[in-house]
Amino acid sequence: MSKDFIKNNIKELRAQNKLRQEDLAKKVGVTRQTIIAIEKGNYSPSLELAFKIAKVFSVPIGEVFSYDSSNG
Amino acid sequence: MSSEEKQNIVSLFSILLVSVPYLLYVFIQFNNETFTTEEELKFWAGAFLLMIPIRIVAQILMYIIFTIGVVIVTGDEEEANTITDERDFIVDLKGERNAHYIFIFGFLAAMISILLDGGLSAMFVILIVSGFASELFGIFSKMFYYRVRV
Repeated sequence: MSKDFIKNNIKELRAQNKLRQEDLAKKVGVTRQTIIAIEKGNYSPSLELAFKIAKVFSVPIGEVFSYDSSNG
Repeated sequence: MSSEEKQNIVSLFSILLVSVPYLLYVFIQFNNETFTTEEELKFWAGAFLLMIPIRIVAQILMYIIFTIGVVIVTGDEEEANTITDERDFIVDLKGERNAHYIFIFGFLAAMISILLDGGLSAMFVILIVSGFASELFGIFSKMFYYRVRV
């Protein structure tokens, strides 16, 4: 599975919830650099971390992350 | 630049400032002496074993200096105590894996040198250089994974 196919809209969700990267990082227990890497698509989080992020925004995980199978 | 990237640079400096002079000292000592086979084995065994505590002490000192430096420069103790998360573990694992591959190649080259009658000193020199190269490659791998993608 290529990381290029996994998209996320964490940046938009953060803006809606007025959360800084640092705040989100603290809430889910990772570093700010990891959040940056996830937003840029340079790192795909583990399932556990993905669920934690979705829980912070109170949305289903499918609304945070998506898999574009048309490129695969 | 993240804290982990800075620590990789500290490790890099630790290798360059401590390991390189020590290895040069070992090679100079070796070239200035004449050894029997048994003495040569003991010489290289001693050199390897002495390198371990030297590297450990150097790493600890460099890390202490790095941590103090971060606190002084940023004025933030939290900056020096960042957590190690899953991405850091993955980068670490992949970097170590890459370093092991390089060392394996070096080990094989050392064994081939024995087969080609290169002598004990050639074997030990190749092992030392491959260990050094594997460590550098591991550090650069980690820096790549942090900078580009993992």
